[in-house]
Amino acid sequence: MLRTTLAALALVAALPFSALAHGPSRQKVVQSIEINAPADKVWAAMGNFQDMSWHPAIEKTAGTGDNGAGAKRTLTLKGGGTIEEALTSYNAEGKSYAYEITTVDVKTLPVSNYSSSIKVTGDAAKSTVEWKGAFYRGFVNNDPPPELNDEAAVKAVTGVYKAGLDALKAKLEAGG
Amino acid sequence: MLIADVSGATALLPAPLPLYAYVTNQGSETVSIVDLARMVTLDTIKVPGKPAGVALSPQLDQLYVTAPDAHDIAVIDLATGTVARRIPIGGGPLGIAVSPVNGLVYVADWYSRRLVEVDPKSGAITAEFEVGQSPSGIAITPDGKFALTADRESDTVSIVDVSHSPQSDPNPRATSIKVGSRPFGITLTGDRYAYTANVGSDDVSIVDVAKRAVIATVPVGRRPYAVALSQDRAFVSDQYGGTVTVFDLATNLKVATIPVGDHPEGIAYDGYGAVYVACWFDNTLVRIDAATLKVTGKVEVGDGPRAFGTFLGLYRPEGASAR
Repeated sequence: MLRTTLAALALVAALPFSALAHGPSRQKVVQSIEINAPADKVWAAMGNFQDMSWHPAIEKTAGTGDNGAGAKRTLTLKGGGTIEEALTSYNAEGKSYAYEITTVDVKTLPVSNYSSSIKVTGDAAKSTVEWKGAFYRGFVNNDPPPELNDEAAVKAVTGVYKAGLDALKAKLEAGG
Repeated sequence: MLIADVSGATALLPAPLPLYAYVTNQGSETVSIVDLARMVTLDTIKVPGKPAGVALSPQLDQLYVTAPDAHDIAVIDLATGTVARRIPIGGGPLGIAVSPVNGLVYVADWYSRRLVEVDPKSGAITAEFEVGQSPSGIAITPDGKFALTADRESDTVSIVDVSHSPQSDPNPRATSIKVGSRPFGITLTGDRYAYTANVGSDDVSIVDVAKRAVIATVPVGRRPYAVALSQDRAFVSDQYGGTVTVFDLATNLKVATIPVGDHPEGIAYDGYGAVYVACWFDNTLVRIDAATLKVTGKVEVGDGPRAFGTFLGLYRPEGASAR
């Protein structure tokens, strides 16, 4: 039995995986920042799904559906590469939204099955922005190369969140 | 609910109320042992290799945990709280289940089409069966004759004869049943129906095991992970929804959607009125009253709890106490 099974395995090893395939361990990143600005003002600066100009890595945001159900956006990065995303929930009153990446090249961001949410809390003087992501590494099979392993995925997403939140804080505290 | 006795026959005794949960924490590479009466973590056992799947021996004295990054399973002695042995499987061991009749352990290899049968006493691989691509959850029929796998990349449930009886094919081929998109968890009601949580189609497929056919599909929340079954209801963990969707087993109609936390995953019914669900992002184990459908307790566990499989039992290590 072992022999025939292993022969069959050798054949199927070459089959492509679906877009929903992923590695065995989901990763998480949570980054937050305190901003000396009213929560309403912070939300006004970053709460529009169709405008991610507050993030220093984003060259252009183009999308459809505003902030409604089924909204989509394509982020063009400075230096090349695009990320296609879909809005999955939007709560203006709660100052939060959630989205997923629908298409990305692992050379642009080394992740798969990525979902995220961003939320503003605070009052008329001070705010906290929390950005959370859940995702798998870019390599869907066993024994990933170093640039597509779990650590690489966490490092890349952490970098994206930190750069965005730092820039948002700088902009708002400068009175921008 | 039945428990198997040591002789291998199935005793007509009700299973006792589970006292402890064994939660695999993939991020922190540990297993948390939770006292369910008090909802406190008593002990934490280190299991390197990104532990995910979990199952118990028929006598409930040993815990089997898959470690996909170590390509093996860990056998944990619940009397001592130590890893007694690690058994190499190869590939990416993920789903795991135990035959209630003979205690053989079945392990699904996420990276292939393999269902591996292991003797936990000797550590030997005793058989391999070909199933669909990326087998995930496993369920064993109460008579120990058939293993069912949810094959995530094939959108199928495989049913394979694992009885090794003289009458059965020595090289059995799995029967493949098309279900919803990307089935992950699979749970049996006795030997009659299997329920798969379909990550890709946001629904649950109900398979009539004897007829080898899907008899119903029930919509649930976003990206369902696994299904727990009480006497009259199904409880489905919706990873992206942050909820547990409850539907009636007689009508298949939705009863409730219960917010439980961020990324609920492994879920189990205790047989007596409580459902426990691990919330992966929140690092919690949450208790739901299966009658009132209210959240009645919560406890912090390790980082990234998955608890994929059977994780409620009776024993805790000697000397384990709340820290």
